[in-house]
This record gives sequence, structure tokens and C-alpha cells, in this order.
Amino acid sequence: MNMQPLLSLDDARHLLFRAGFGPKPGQIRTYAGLGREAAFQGLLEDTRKFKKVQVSIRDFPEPGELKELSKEERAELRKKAGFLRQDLNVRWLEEMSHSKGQLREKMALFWHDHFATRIFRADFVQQQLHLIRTHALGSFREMLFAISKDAAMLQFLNNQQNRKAHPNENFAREVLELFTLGRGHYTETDIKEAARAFTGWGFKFNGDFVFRKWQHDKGIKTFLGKTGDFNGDDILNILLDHPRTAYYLTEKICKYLIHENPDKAFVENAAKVFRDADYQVSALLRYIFTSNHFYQDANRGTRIKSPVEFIVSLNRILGLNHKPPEGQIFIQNLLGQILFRPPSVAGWTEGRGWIDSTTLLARLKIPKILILQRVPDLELAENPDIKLVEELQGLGKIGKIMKAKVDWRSLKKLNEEKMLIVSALAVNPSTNLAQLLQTNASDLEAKTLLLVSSPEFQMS
Amino acid sequence: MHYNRRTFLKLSALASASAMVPGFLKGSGLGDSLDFKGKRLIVIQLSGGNDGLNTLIPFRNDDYYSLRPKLGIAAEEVLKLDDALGFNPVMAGMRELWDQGDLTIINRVGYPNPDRSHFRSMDIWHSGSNSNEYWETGWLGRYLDAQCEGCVKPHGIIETNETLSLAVKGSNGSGLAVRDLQKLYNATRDSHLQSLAAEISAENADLGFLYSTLTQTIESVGYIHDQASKYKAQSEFPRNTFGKSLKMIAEMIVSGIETPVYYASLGGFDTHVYQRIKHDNLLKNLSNGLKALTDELKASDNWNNTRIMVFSEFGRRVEQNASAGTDHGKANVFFLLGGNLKKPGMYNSIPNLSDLDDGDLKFEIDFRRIYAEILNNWMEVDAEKILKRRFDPLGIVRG
Repeated sequence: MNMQPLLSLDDARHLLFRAGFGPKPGQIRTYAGLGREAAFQGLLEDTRKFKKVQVSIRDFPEPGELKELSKEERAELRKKAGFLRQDLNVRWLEEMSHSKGQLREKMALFWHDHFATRIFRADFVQQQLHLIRTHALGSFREMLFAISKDAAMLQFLNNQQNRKAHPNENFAREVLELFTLGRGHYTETDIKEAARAFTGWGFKFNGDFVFRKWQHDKGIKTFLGKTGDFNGDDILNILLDHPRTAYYLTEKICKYLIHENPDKAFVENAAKVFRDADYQVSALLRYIFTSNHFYQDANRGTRIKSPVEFIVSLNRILGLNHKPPEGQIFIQNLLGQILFRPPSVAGWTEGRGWIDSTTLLARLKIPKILILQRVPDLELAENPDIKLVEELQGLGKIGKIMKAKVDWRSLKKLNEEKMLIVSALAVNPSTNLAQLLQTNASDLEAKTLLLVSSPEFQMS
Repeated sequence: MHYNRRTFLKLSALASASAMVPGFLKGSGLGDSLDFKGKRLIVIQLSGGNDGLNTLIPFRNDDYYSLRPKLGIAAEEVLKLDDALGFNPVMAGMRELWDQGDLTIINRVGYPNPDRSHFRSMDIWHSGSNSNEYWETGWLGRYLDAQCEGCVKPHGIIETNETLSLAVKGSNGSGLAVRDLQKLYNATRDSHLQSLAAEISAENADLGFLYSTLTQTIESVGYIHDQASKYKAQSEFPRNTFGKSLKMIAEMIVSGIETPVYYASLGGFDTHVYQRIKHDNLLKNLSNGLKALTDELKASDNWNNTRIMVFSEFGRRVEQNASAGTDHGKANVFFLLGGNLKKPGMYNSIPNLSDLDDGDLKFEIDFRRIYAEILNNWMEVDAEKILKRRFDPLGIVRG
């Protein structure tokens, strides 16, 4: 029998910050004492049931009706779509914050960035979100096919306009550059040929995939050294056969889960595992989360949380109940990451890229604003993506929108068990912070605020 | 960096924002250490791949009209600059600058083995690398590094964006992102932040990075705020994010802040589909913004000491696509503005649309030569050290 090491408190903390968004009060104790395999299995089991994230989308006009709309009616429609996307945003945040299936949501966030899409129609956004959450831990092969036929993706990358007579290369380019091979592993000709193969791939008004035969270029293409009358499916199969794909994806996942500069040898081994499992994501994750490499000291507390990770980890440790939930959208805007609004198809930046003077100040101040209801001295950057529903517009001050209730009872219990600091922070407090915590040890509110308003809290 | 040990503040002080500012945190004398030479550079980035051919139109060229049946702009609408090229009709502001000799136009700027990917090509423009190299610092970030070994001055570059571009990130530090100066200043006067900033050690390098970013921010923002006078720009800037960012730059310059480099960007130029209206609106915004900015700099006698460069990561294909748009191309037009330019006017010849590189404009001028020109002859620093190789300057900058 394989005597795997049992997780220490520190190990459990590290696992919960990486395979999810950080521990909820009491969660570290649940995992400490388990073997690595059992801990991972537990995380996986918790993802089995998951709720679809959806909003009520009614009265979307039919194609014929859309043409009849006046300019004002179209503007109304855009506004409505904006509200719906925001609804989806806060509902997904809620799942990330409070659902048991942390591993699913953490990986779904990864895929959301990997397949970054930015479009107007909320029903397409909802459809794509469900797609990536469903496939997040499953077969990447299946996910790649599904996302390549997803209406949101096809629209965003203009493949609806990719026709035999006038190919549009956008979609083909990103499939190669961003989704599978990465830069430097194909030529411009490969892109042109792939674009030809994808001609005719489009979507119907209701979001279903459709193959428009008459727009498809049936001719012979040469792609990555292979020749044939390829269609889109063939291109995807060739890409999945390419040895580079597993490495590219694995490296990206290791950057997300282990360290910004992952160990090359480890990535190579993990990529082999991924490939041998025919791109089953959970197999790769099992390999990562049971490895010695993952648990090395040098890989602990070294990742800077993305804005969404910051919000969700804050929600989890404080048991936050945001009323109105839209406050979380303002925070996303301040910190530079709004769900469903990536800056481009390449997704968001990573690590230190999240941090500059403005965003660091915001991270250090937001907990106070949320909890103490201070009027913020932060600037709210103007962003056409943020639409206030009528009720909120009347409230005026941003302080009234960023409001949340803390679960002080759980925190009191956690503090009495002497688990507050280790649950809140993924890294040990520096000298200064440790002294501040000591000075304020008898004041739970002060101590808690110090913890979540620190540079240390930004690490995972 | 070492600080004197201080008494740690109890959290009750958190409620008040008017705590005492320790002496070492006051912004004093930081301007001097930059060795400010009185010259300024403003970089304006057009993100997405600006369609140069519909910006500066070859209105006598038949190929232009035959390859762009929908997108081609009629000759009679073009704002003619000479007998071959003219501006898009919305660019009246820039036309005026041309007439006044404040503009040098460089055609067909690019680089060898160009990349058609936004991110890759923008990284190349930001870093100054060759197209097969992957550098993690920007040309302006390295300029900042070269100023002073081991000391970091974020306000050496002010970027009017929410996040910093690669262009302004160096090995030792990066530029300062400023959207609203007063709010930023208020945000740094928090006693809680100042007590945190007294930290002298951290568990790992990334945590250390957070702490040092905090300290530098407090110092730099203090300096800029103290220097900035109550000057409010008089000219009419576009009422949008871009207009606001140019307005802030104008106000900072006129206030005498000793920041040599400003970086602003305008996005939305990736016009694959239904280009005409979108593109025209962007150009109008650019033109009006630049006009207001130059008016401010002229009125305050800062025009001769300023150079503005306007670039995009690539141009677009000559032929329009099936969606009344254009796809990614290669070489593009480049603008340099300023007072007392050495070579105002058209620097080189118009694009030859019958001699294309696989449907794209062929490049003639490597953009690194423009960077070398600006670094050597305007910023007076060692361009070869910053760009990591030697490029022949163009001779267009020194006035």
C-alpha cells in the first residue's frame, strides 16, 4: 500500500487556495489529516452536482422583428443585454463563492480566460458559460469541439462571416494561437488553410450551430503538413493529434495552479499524463494535486490573486452577503477584470500584471469600504460596460452600492480555534503585519480587517 | 530599502484619513533624481490595428478604389494634404496641424517578418524586440531603468490607463497609472497604508513586490500632487475617456511636473466588420483630442519641448473583406507631432498599391529607427543600450 503523506494544516490551506478559491471557516480542518489522493477525490466528488447559472431571458426578438426595431429600441435592447450579463456575472460569482464544487468553478474560470469571448447577447453568454462549466473537468477534446461550434465564440471571432469567396481568418488564427498550439508553432499559411476549412461554420439566430454548406470551401487544403479536403472537424482533430497541444495547455494550467514559472520537467511529465488520458482534465488535475512538486515550499503563497479570485476569496472567508450584489461588479471594474468582458480574445493578464499603483490601493481599501461603509476615496473609472439598474442609479454614492454583511459568528469561532490567520492568508504575515495583528489581538473586527486589507491577502 | 522603526498605529486610526505623514514619505526632491531635461514625449497608441489607408488616403490611386469598392473614401471628401495623400474627412483638427507645420508623416512603418496577431505585434512595438524574440520589458520601461541604477521612480512615466502597458514596464520598476490625480492622492494618505508601507521584509518575492509597489506609489503620488498647481485646461477636449486622458496630460505638463514620458491609448481599431462608421468615429476622436492637446501646449509655451508620437501595432490589408471591413495587415502610417520639427511634412513617398507583400503594404521604415531617434536625439539617452541593438536614427526629431 502506498504510504502517501497526510496533509498538514499548511498543506490543506495550500490545496484549498489552489484547487478552489480559499478555505471557508472550518474547511482546513476537514482536509488536514487526509492523504493527498483522498483529498483530491473529495474535491472531485464535491463537483458532481452543479447548478446551471442562468437568468431569465424572455422576449428576445425574432430575426424578423429585430430588423423592425427603431434606434431607440435597439439601444434599449443593448441596455437590457448589459443588465442580463451583469446578472449572470453576480450569479456565477455566487456559485464560485459558495458552491461545494470549488474545483469545477476554479477550472471554469481558467477556461473562461482561455476561451475569452466578448459579445453582446446575454443568451449566448449564458450558453457558453454553461458549456465551459459542464466541460471544465472533463474532456478537453469534447470542450474544444463544443466551443468551436458555440454561437458566442463564432460570433466574437467573426466566423459567421467566414465564407468560401472571402475567408475571414480571425477564428482560425485564435484557435491555433490561443486555444491549442500557441504562438510560433504554425505558419500564416496554416491559418489561411484552416480558415478555409472552417468556412460555413456558423450559428442560427437561436444560438444553435449550423453548417452552411454553400459557404464552405470544399477544396484541398494543406494544414500542418497534412493534405486533404479538410473541414473544421478535421482541423480540430489534427490539432489534438499535435504533440504541442498537450504541452501548451498543461503549461498554462500549471501556471494557473502551481507557479508563474512552472518547472519544465514537471510540465513535460504532466503533459504526457494529460495526453495519455486523451485530454481528460481531471486526470491532469489529479496528477498535479497529488504530486510532491505541487506541495513544495517554493510553490506556496506565490500567486497573486486575480480580481475575481480576490473577490471570491474575500466572500468565502468573511461569509459575505452582498446587497446589492452589483457592488461586486464595481470591484471587478476597479481591479481590472470583469467576467464576460475580457479585453480581447487573449484573455486577461497574469500575476504581477494585475498590480500597479491604482489596483493595489484599491485591493487594500475595498474590504473597509464594503464592511465599514466608509465613503470611498477611490476613483470609479468610467466604463460603458457597467450599467446601473434604475433603482441603484437613484442611490447616488458608490458607497451605497458596495455593501456587504459579514458572518462574524463564524469568524469569532475561527478565531477562538486559533485558525483565523491561517484560514485568511495563504502566506505567513510579514513582521510588520504580525505585530499589527498582535497589537489588535483582542479586537476581532480590527484583526479581521487587518488580515483582509493586507498585501498578504493578495497572495494565494 | 530600510526605514526607521516606527510606532505601529492602532487600527482606530483607520477611520480618519488625516493622519500625520512621516517625513520620509513626503514627496520631496524626487523630481531632481530623474535628471529631467525639460523635454517631454507623449505616446499615443491606437489599439487594434488602425487602418492607415483610410486615415491617410491615396486619393489618386485607382488600386485603392478598385480594392475597396465599399470602403474607399471618395476623393472629393478627402482633406488633401498634397497632390497624392489626404486625411479622412473627419480629421479637420489634424489637417490644421499639418498646415501649421506641426506634423511629420512617415509612411510604411513596420518591421521585418511582421506578426499579424494583435498581442504579438503590440508586444513587439512595446518591447522593441525582433519579431521572433519575446522580451518582458518595454522600451520606455528600460528607459526608466537606465535613468538611475537601483532607484525607482514610477512617476517617470505616467500612463493614463487603468493598467500599465508592457511599454512602460522595466526590470526595476514601472510607470505610474493615473486616472484621477486628486482621488489617487487622497487614497494614499491613509494611515493604515502608511503603517503597512513601513514593512522591511516579505515571505517571498511576489509579496515583496507588493510592498515595494505600495511604498513607491505613496512617494510618487505625493510628489506629483504637490507639484501640480490648480491649472485647469482651457481647450475643449472630447468628452470621453480618451479626451479626459489627454486633458490630464495637458494639465500635468502645464503645471510643470517633471515627468518626461506620458502614455495614452485609444482602442477599438480592430475593424474586421462594418468598418466605416466605427473607424471614422475613432479618427475624429483622435484628431479632436490631439488638436486640443496641442492648443494647450502651444498656449503654455510647451510645444517646442514636446514630441507626440502616434502609432498602431499594424495596418490593415489593402483589399476589403466580405464584411465591409478589413483584416490585419502589416506596414502603417506613423505620425510625429511637435513644435519646431526638423522635417515637418511627408517624410517619405506614398504606398505603392501595385507592389504589395501578399496583399499588404510593404514596410520601408523600421519603427525601431524612430525609437532610436527619439531616445538619442530627444531624450538624450543611449538608444543602443535601451533597444539592445543599433538602429540608424531618422533625423526627424531634433528641432
